[in-house]
Amino acid sequence: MNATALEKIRAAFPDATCSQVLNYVVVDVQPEKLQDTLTRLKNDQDFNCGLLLDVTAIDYLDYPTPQGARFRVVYTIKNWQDNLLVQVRALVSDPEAGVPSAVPLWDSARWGERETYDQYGINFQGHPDLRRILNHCQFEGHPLRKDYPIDKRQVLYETDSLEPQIRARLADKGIDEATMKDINTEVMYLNLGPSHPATHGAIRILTALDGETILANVNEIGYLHRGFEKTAEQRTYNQIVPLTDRLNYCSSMINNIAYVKAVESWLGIQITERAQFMRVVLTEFYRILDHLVCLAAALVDMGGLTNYWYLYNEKEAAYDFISRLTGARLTSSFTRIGGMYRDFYDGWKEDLERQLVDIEKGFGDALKLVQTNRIVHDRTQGVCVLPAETALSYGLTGPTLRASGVAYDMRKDAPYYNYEAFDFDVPIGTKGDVYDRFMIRFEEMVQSVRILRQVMKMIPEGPVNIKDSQVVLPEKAQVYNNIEGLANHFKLIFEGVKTPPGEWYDSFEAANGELGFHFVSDGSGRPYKLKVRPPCFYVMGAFHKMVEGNMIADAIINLSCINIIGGELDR
Amino acid sequence: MALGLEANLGDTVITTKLDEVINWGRQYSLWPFVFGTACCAIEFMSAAASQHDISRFGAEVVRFSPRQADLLLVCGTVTYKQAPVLKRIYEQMPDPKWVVSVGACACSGGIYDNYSTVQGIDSIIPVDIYISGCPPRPEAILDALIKLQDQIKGESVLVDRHKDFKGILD
Amino acid sequence: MADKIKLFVNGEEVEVESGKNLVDAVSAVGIEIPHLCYHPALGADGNCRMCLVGLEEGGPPLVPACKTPAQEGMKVLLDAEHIRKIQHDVMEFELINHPIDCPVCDQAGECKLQDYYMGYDRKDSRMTVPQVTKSKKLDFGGGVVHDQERCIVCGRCVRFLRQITKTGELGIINRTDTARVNIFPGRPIDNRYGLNVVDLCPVGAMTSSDFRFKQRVWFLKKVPSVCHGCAKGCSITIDHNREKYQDDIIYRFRPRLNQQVNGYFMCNDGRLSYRRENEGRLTQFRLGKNERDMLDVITGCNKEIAHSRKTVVLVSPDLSLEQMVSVKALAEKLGATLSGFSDGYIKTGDGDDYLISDDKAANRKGLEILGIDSSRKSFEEAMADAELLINFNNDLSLSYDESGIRSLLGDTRTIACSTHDDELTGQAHFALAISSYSEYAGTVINCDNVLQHFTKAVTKNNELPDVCAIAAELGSPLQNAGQAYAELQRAIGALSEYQPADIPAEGLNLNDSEAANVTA
Repeated sequence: MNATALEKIRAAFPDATCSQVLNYVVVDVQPEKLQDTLTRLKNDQDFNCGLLLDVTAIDYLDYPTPQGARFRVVYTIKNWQDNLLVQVRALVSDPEAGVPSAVPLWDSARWGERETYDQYGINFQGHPDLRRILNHCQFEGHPLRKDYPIDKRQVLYETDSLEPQIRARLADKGIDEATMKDINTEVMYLNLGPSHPATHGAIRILTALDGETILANVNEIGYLHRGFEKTAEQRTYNQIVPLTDRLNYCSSMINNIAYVKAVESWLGIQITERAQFMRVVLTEFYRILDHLVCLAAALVDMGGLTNYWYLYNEKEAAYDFISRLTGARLTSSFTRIGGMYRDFYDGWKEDLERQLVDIEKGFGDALKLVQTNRIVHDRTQGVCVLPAETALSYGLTGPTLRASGVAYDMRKDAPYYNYEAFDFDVPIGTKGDVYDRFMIRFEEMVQSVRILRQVMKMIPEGPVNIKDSQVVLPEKAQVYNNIEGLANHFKLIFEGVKTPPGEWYDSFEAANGELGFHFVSDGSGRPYKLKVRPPCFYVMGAFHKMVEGNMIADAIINLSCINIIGGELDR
Repeated sequence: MALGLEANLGDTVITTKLDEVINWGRQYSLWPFVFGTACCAIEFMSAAASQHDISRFGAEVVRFSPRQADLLLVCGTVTYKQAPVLKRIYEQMPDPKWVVSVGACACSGGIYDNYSTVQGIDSIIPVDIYISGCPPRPEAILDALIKLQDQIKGESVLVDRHKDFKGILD
Repeated sequence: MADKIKLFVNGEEVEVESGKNLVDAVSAVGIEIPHLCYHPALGADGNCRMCLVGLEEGGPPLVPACKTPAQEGMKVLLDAEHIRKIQHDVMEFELINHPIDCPVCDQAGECKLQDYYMGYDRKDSRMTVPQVTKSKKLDFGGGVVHDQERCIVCGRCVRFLRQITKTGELGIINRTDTARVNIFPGRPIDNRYGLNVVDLCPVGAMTSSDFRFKQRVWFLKKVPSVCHGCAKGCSITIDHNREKYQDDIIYRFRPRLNQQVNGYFMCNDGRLSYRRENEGRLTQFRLGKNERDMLDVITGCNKEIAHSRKTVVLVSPDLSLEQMVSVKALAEKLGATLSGFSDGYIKTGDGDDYLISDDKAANRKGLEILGIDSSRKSFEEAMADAELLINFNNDLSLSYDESGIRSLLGDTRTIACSTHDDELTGQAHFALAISSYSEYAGTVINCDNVLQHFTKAVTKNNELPDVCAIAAELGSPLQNAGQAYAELQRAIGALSEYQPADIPAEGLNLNDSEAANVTA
């Protein structure tokens, strides 16, 4: 598929340099041709790249080989039907002038380009609202640039009022000053968050209400921006694994697995069979846990407190299994490049089976309370509808996209780790309302349990780590008893696993959607740049589209059912 | 916190008996306000769930308005963007109030030593108990609660706490 | 430069310089041939056998690359099964008795055995018998500590002390398993270049007791610079690091290759002069005995300058050219007498014919080129009736003793711009703290007329202004080092085509007739 894709793209864009990296196509264009290339890749029938996954930039200031300009902008786009991934790149010599914005093509560029502007200072011409998104409003400078020292801290003294933004949004919706002041339609501003129980983390939702109906909504994120990307540039590849834990902390091992899978794909490592099955077991198990927490919190928001106990207790019980396996409850840091930290313990299958039975009972009970409940139906059906085209345009992936009716799941469309050998279904919603987003998670848990049972039967014996002295640490018996093992261990730890220079992107179907990692390597054991493509960042970007026109109470349950995890949203 | 009448009495047996009663009431009915930002908030949720039951210690009434709470649990990383919000919440809480910093990020910035993370909330608000861990086990949170209760036991109505604290946002 | 010849490495053609051996020739084009005992300054020894490469035709099938001159049409084989086996076997042999010391060995991070294990060995150990134990922590004198277990008996240290310093303190005694590097009983390493064996040693057998356990090398940031210990101006690398919540300090100096100046080595005094950068520094501005803000002190100085009827400006021969130009402009502006008197910096008889110069000033040629009068007579005449002395870091205690200084100064008021808080600075009426050479960028000319540029290495938490900035505050028309450099380009014709970043790493030789062109 990809050889022909490369040829097709080469033929269609003769002045661009096209190459194949891993299993996708990279198109290097001149900056003047960027907008044209993106438009054609989106609109042409041949390419039909309807999903803009990510926008980012690279600062080549400290890069060993000069690239022609200091910055480069990268657009990662996907044709989700044919599984065609294309990265369009353009050099930017003057960040103040920048490049034309892709917002007219994809709405996910609204937030993607804002983040690139915030972190790198690249201007996007024609962007409707180019301001900071992750760093605070009094921040000066662009932190991901290589000449910004990592420990240069800037204190914020006064939070942003966001008043001009909400007024602009109201104006967009056609509500003028006169309507706002009229006693019958007077607009009230209500600010939710960032410290609010309903926001499940630190998100600020500023709404303009007419009675209880939301007329306009502006969101502010970045309250948990912890500098993951800049910190990752200073650590070796294996040292970043604990950092990835804290991205989506409800399903922490999925982040670990996605991260090492991305590094291994570049190194060209094929991990052992047992490790592959092990990773599938853990991915599906954590997917279940993530959905449990999401549903527990969502049902609490709706008022059904009992479900919290039913669902959360299963998660609590699962911690017994996890802490026995990994040593920690929440943040496991269990994967390593080339394998896992250690193998399963003896008797894990029985433990896991018991957990699964309990989990099935748990969400079975919760489902019984919820499934035919009139209140739940009234509150969630037809509420906060997001049609499929809008969802795709905003870059949604994962359960929220599938709830809107788009049949896209990487486990089926671009399978890895033997997913094609497992027998499971992918639930797809019909209307894209809160009810769909809800029920899809219940159903996904059922499917995950199904996969788990199959994998537990199929998992082979064998080693968990590959044997490669350049990647995997030697056994401790070797390290403590001879100089070869010690030198090997020593070099791998303080220099890190060295990766060949280049740039690559790899993604994974995480609990919230497509979790991607975009790396730039300079040949050393530390990444030159590491960008996370966070699924819930783009989902949050579409939040205003979902809630405008609905009531404030609907916005609350909408927020809880899209599972926004602060660590992943803000990194 | 020096209640007017008692201040006149000074340090006598009446005040110490009063202290015992008041402290007994306060320590066993702490109403937490969970300022949860990150992963530690999930561990607090576990502490509040049935297995590690925080309500055994009287702290089950989790109030989501700072006006009604007296224990501020900062669970998770506080960034510079979030810092003014934290300060405002702290100021909105009425006296007596206690602050527990849950997790490495709240105590000292944790693994995030960079441009966006406050290296410990004690540069913004005064902290009474620090809990280490990333994230700390629910048992650690309960242990901190018990330590706080012991600390409250030793307090006095005549003494004002934390009036001279000066943070970076002051 | 030598001519280019073409030869083949692994079947691919490369163009290398003729007249070199294979190791040097192909490393210049980016291909690494591993070697342990060979060193360009010491010549080939051929005892380690690590550099064995295959020759596809013509000549023996295996040759040590360090002893094989590169010839036209040679077909070198590096990437073959048998070569890889040899490299693995040699490494295995070297590692057989190597102690398991990495966690406590200073060399970790710059150790050839570690690097070559990862690059060429990569296999598990086959040792089943106990290793041979030898003496560790032997004090060889001169700051060198020897560890016999780590030694791979490559002979570099022995050859250095025989060929370069010609003192021969070290030798290899006994044979095979019992071969050891040792000193003669009671005759430790006793020469002024002894610490170079620490750099030469590819493993952790020779370590410096000064650097022992101070810092791990992968934390060190390495910046090229120029030693200011004497007029030779050896090219060095400054290794510094800033630990969390501490200040940025220098951990060591190492010599940097510069064929025009110092080759591969440097003297011990220069190497250990990093200590002066860290210790005894003046960090606060003072008005008399009281610490004050920079602004207050500068204001006081400017008032003093305005009142003074006769001012003498004394400049240190250690300053960079840009700084000297700024001070010269300042002296002209103030109508003051400018002197660079620093006879005390010259320690006659101390220098040798290798890397140590009599003159301990780093940039005396700079004074000469800029025409700054350094004679004792004119200085003392000017000081006789001077009301104010502005001293830019010149250490007068080297040129005068205590009573001499008292009679020289008389009742002259002094403004001391110093890097170090010495006695003279303590007695000054105004003390201004300035940055030292590791903290600013500048240009110096050494005793052989080679001009070198160095960049800023260390960034202290409390950054101090440099001489150019102070001179500007005191009235110099040149506001910063950039403007001073432009002025410098007028004075030295050779610099007119070079911006500081363009000056070659090995420096500009001003002796070349075209390059000289000095118009100051």
